[in-house]
Amino acid sequence: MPDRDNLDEMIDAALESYANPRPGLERRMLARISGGAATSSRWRRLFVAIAAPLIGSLLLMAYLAPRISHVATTQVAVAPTPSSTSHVESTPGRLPASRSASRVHERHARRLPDRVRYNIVQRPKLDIFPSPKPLSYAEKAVIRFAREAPEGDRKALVTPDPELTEPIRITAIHIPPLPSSEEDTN
Amino acid sequence: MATDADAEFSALVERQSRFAFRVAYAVLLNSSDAEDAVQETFLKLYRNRGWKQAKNERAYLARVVWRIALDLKRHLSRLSSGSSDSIQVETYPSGWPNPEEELESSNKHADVHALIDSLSEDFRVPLVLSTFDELNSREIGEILGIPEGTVRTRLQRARELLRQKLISLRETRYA
Repeated sequence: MPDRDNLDEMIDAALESYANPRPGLERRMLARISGGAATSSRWRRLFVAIAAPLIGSLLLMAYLAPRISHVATTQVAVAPTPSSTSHVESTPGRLPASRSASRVHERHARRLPDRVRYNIVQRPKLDIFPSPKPLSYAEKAVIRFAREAPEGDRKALVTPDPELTEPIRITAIHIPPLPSSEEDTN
Repeated sequence: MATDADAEFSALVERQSRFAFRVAYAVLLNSSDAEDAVQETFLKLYRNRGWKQAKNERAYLARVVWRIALDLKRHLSRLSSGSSDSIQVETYPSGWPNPEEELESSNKHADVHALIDSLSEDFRVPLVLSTFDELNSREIGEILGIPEGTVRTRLQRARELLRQKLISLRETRYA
């Protein structure tokens, strides 16, 4: 089978020269690879330049955040003046009626930074308005007097003094006439 | 590339570029795409230095470049099917003369190259890989992920197909 052998040789020879690249492939590859490697290293440097400070600042924030909030709460506890106090008690009339309103308050309080966070204390809504206040010293003294003093004194306290109740009488003012000018000249 | 590792890598590129190109070309059938695949392969190797651990450097390289060429082929086919008005890059099959080669009057193997290009990828890639003495059927099977027997069968079948096509080509030419 001479023809078949010839075909085989032809195929082998063609395969040897099959897919031959253009001359200078190695040089082109090295140039392109060094270019690609330089580009990737440039991107890596850029990434490091951006990411490193970002990560550093995040770590610093994570480290300092608990300390700052601790200092803030300490300061509030030492100086509880009305202007700087951290406890604001809501009045009964202003208390949120529904639960959703209280949630809004909580959310608002959560959103505030640690330094100015208020602790909103909710008190139960009272039925009596205005709210009862404790008796003053004078009121207490009057009650004690009414209980313990003798009846005469109590009546004297209640009965008004006639001298004080009578209207004030003012006597008519009499002004004598002045002597005339002619009598003086004579 | 100043360090020893870089010098080693340059030597690898010098040693294996042509081989890698042939493998890539067998898949892509386009010179510029094959060069892109080879470049991608060497960049990958440069970054991970994987070839240093490979027992068989050539087989390792062939496996990497074959996979990259397949990925590139899929990507290119998606691009060409996705955009109808895409720029068509003129391709020259291995045996067909391009403008440079056209100047060379004699290209004895042009017909056979064209026939190799016309083979399906399953036959063409083992056939191209088998032309290198260092790669036997077992190694080709490892590269392509197929049994050694399948490689042998495909090689025989590829040669048979080429013979038949060549005979029919001659018959039509000299009829």
